[in-house]
Amino acid sequence: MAKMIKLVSGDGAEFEVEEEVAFQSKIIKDIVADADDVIPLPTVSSKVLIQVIEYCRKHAAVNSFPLSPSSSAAAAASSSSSISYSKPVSDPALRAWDNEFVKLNNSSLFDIVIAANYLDIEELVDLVLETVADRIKGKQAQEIRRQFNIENDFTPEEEEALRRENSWAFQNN
Amino acid sequence: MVSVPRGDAEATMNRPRPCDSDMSTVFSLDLLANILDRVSDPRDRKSCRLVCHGFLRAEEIHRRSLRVLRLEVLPGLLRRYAAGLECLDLSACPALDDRAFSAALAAGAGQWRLRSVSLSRASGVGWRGLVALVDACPRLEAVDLSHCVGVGDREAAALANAAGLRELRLDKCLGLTDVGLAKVAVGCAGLEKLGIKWCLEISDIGIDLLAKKCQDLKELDISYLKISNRSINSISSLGKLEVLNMVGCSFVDDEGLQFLKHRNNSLRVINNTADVDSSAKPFEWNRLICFLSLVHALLQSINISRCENVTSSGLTSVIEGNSGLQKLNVGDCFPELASLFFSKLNDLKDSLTVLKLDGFQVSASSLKIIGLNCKNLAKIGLSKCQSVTDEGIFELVANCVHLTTIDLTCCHLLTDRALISIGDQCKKLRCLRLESCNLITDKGLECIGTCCSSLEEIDLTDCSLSSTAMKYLSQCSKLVVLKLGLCYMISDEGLVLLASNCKKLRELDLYRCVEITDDGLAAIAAGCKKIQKLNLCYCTKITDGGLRHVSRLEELRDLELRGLCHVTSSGIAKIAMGCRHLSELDLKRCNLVDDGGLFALAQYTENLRQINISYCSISGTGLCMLLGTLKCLQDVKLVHLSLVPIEWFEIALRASYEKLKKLKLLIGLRNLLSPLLIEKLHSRGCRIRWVEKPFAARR
Repeated sequence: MAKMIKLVSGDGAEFEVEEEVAFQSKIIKDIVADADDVIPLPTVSSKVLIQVIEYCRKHAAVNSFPLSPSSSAAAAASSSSSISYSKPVSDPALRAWDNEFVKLNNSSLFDIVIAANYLDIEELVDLVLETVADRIKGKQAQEIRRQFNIENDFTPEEEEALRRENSWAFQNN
Repeated sequence: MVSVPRGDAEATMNRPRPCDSDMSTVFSLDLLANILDRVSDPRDRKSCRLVCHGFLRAEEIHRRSLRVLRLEVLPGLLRRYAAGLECLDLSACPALDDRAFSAALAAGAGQWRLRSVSLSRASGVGWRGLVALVDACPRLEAVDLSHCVGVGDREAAALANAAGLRELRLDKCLGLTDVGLAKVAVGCAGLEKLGIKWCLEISDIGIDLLAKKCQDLKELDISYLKISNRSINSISSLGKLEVLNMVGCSFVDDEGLQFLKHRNNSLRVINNTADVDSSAKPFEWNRLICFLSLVHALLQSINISRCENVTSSGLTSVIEGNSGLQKLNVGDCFPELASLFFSKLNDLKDSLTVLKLDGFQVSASSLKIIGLNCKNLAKIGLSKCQSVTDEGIFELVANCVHLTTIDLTCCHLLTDRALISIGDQCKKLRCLRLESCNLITDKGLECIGTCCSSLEEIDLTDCSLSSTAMKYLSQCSKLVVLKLGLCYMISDEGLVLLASNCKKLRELDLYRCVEITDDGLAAIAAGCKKIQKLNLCYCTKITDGGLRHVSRLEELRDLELRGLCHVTSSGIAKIAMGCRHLSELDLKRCNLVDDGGLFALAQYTENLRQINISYCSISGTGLCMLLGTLKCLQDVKLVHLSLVPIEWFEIALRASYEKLKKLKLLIGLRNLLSPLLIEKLHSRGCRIRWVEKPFAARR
């Protein structure tokens, strides 16, 4: 009985998903409101779309209710920081599933977060960015570069100047 | 919600990519900034800055506040962060003067969005610097110039041009007079918070004009000013005033307070503790209390500690008028509290969460009444209430099960039974202070250790405990602060137990725990890696080997090693190389430490701000090296350096007068050092303490 939405990936593959699963993405929700049931997503490859749909399916059950008072309180509380976070996942089983979901290499994670950002799936964006942040924590600059395959584009003088600044400022963040 | 323009996403999708994509190019600046927002540890943030230009750029647009510790990096930093910076703290930046300040502001000319600037204790900044500040920062809302004793009317005139100013702290700006205050009042009519504590030149005239011009004032601190009742009359016209601090206004009396009676009920906190100076005109405290209860229906927090003339009927009136009271501090007022007061606490039963009764004779029945009346109590202070007994504690905790902080310092009568009561009832306990409760034994801690799993802080200084107590305490895996000073029986075994489970420990005080040896320190270094503050004073069995273990504590900031007579420069060098964040070091009476230790410190501990090398065997060379090299050094204690000739003191101090803020020297030096040097030190804001200390070693 559930209404189905058809998503078409960048390489032409079609995926039919239940409405409530697809509506995890606010963009899709808006587009469908304009009476459009087939949604082309040229910027998202099949591989990434499969993973995103998997996430949405798992979370659809939890998010099937409109914003409850407790979640709006959480949203209000976190609005004091410059970025606002979606409400934290409270169900431990779901959290465990999320932790397994993000056990991917960096490249896959980046693809997912860019797709999730494009589709405006707030919780997925948060989940991946939090994972990326965790991979940064506790590391020195060189380690971070190695982890994410980033090139060091500083000259030795620039790097030295930055190190000096690091010693003599930012004590209180 | 973070957004990437669709065009960018498409472009990046279609571009051919290498196997492992480069995060800094694939992610937009917004996404990078979002990631950085989740990296909260300052050290991680510093690492991120060094990764690549993309990361640096994200960090630059993201940073809103900055605290700078050294002058050289100021221009570069301000140039980098000018676009987004809102708060700038230069209070710890030594030798900051007008020229440097103006030049640094020019670096970000036209971009400044600064809203708040702190120049507290920056005694080198004057009106020229402030003119530059006001010109450069159109959005300036808050300026802190407290303790800049040279600030006067010229500086106030410069500030008066910042029309948008909302908060201004001019406490201890001794040069400020009514003229300067008037300029500020006229220029900054939107002022909401003003502090002019200790500005002794201000008179009633200045306050009068202030009250007329700055009607939006919400917080005002006029403590210690020589103003009279007329000022209180003027202040009473400020309709939005919520907080009034008038500590030590000895020329104000009951008549003045009458003026505060006839006004709107917006006044929330009045802080009127008197100086302990009986020569001043006597103040009728009870009438004050009555006024408070009439006027402050919205009073949330009242601190009338140390008011010698308050009696319990006065306190009772406070409670009668203020049913919303959350915090009540009546410590050190007078010896006895009437039971009427205690039963009146019933009026506050829902709101009262913090109650401090330090120094009172509180009986068991009184504690029972408190327990029955204030069930929501979260913090109770019974420090120095020497008559508190086990029975009293039992009655208290029977009802106050939500207690998170219990202060029982110097409650000498308490035994293990009190601890058992606390452990049974207060499962949410986070902080417990038992200093000098000498009857407590290891047994008492068994209950605490087992039941209070949320315990974060415990002070057991001067209690007769042994390592068995550590076995129990080590069950509290959330322990952050542990004070075991003067617990002579604590041994290495206890430290091993502690290190096995208390991984979150940040502060450990082992003052005079003389049985501790290097092996105990090895355990601590292996298990408690987050330790930031460590006190090993007079643990005389410790040698350089022990310090080698301590050097593995990478987070260490504050280390006290007084009287360690077996420690040499070699141990100190290891500490210097290992603990790069070391900021405070006390080596008093480590008489084997010589220049070698100081050379190592000069080379490695860049962040060292405070050091005590009194009684060490250093020579002039070492002293000069230390004082000359360490640019963050601000607080130095140099008592009894008998191997350092006077000329070397001169040279060392001259090399460092620009950065020193506190200095402790033997009084004999006052006549031997050149007056020019001493004057120069004073003019740079350095405070010198001259002490008279005999050379003989302490016990």
